Amino acid sequence: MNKIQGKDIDMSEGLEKEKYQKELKKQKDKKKKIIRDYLIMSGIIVVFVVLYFVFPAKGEVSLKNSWQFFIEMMEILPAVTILIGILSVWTTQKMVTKYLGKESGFKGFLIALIMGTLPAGPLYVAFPVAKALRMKGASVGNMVTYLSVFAAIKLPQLLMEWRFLGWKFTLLRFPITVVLIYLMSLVVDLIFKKTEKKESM
Amino acid sequence: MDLSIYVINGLVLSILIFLFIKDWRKTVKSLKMALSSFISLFPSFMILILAIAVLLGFLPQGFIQSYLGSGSGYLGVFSAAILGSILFLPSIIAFPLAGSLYHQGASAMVVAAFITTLTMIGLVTLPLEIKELGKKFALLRNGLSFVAAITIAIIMGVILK
Repeated sequence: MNKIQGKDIDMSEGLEKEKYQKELKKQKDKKKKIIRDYLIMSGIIVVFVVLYFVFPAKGEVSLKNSWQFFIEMMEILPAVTILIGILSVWTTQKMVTKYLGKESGFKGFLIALIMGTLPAGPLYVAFPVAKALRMKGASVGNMVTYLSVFAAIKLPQLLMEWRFLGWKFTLLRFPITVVLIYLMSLVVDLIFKKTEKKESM
Repeated sequence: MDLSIYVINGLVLSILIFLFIKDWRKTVKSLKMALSSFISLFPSFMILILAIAVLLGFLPQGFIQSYLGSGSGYLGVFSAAILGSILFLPSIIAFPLAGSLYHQGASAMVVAAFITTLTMIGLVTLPLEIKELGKKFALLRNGLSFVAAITIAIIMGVILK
């Protein structure tokens, strides 16, 4: 018994170390990516300046357009990034598994919907969360709901959509998307249930 | 400036003040995260802005309207959906891009198809999704998302005519 426990501790320590190194590597990669992005940006600015002098008439229009675009961005980007910061600090991945868990049916759908709108970040960040959900016993349909909502209609995105495509567009796309995501979750649940019966897993 | 700016900034500011009173340490941490995400998003925004400006400057007038406008019909929607599935863009950057296409005359149907596939489908991240969640799940989710995106686009096109 003691031996096994000791082994467990060793293993978890090893895992912690590995995790820490992975995290470190991730941060390094991120820094590299940011530097690369700034380099590309500078390159494009140079191209833009050259084009401006080669085609002064077109350059004038382009400059005016991009300046206006720039202002439009700056009016909203700080607010959206602050919202992203707030959401990523105040909501945790544990919250999702805690509240969603084995919840099923329409209630499960609603919880997955709310949980999906809250986080921020690219979709692939949500894959491990969905995996954890499945291990905790969540239905496949709820996983689909969580991922799809996370992808298509999360909060910071909705703000951007409202700003750049208008409230009419946003208010229309939101409910239609919710309905279709609900249908998708039902279909996936159905397909998985059928094949699971066949394979008698 | 239109209303959306006041509402969005006001909303975020009031949430920020509320959270600061509740737990200032966590709020400062949020602001730090916000700054780092601003720094990492900024170049992508600038690249997008300049690329669009150059593109619009050199494309003939009415080009977007004729290829992505309501006249482009289902072919336009289908191509936008395919493009959205392949492209790998941060979603927050996708909206300004979609917005400028929309204002240049692309139809609501095309824009909705583009945005929905862009955000929901990731061909680039498909291998990762298969690895994490299984082949069956990943293929099913992406396939159904494509059908859903086309459906959403068509409904929006019918209503926003």
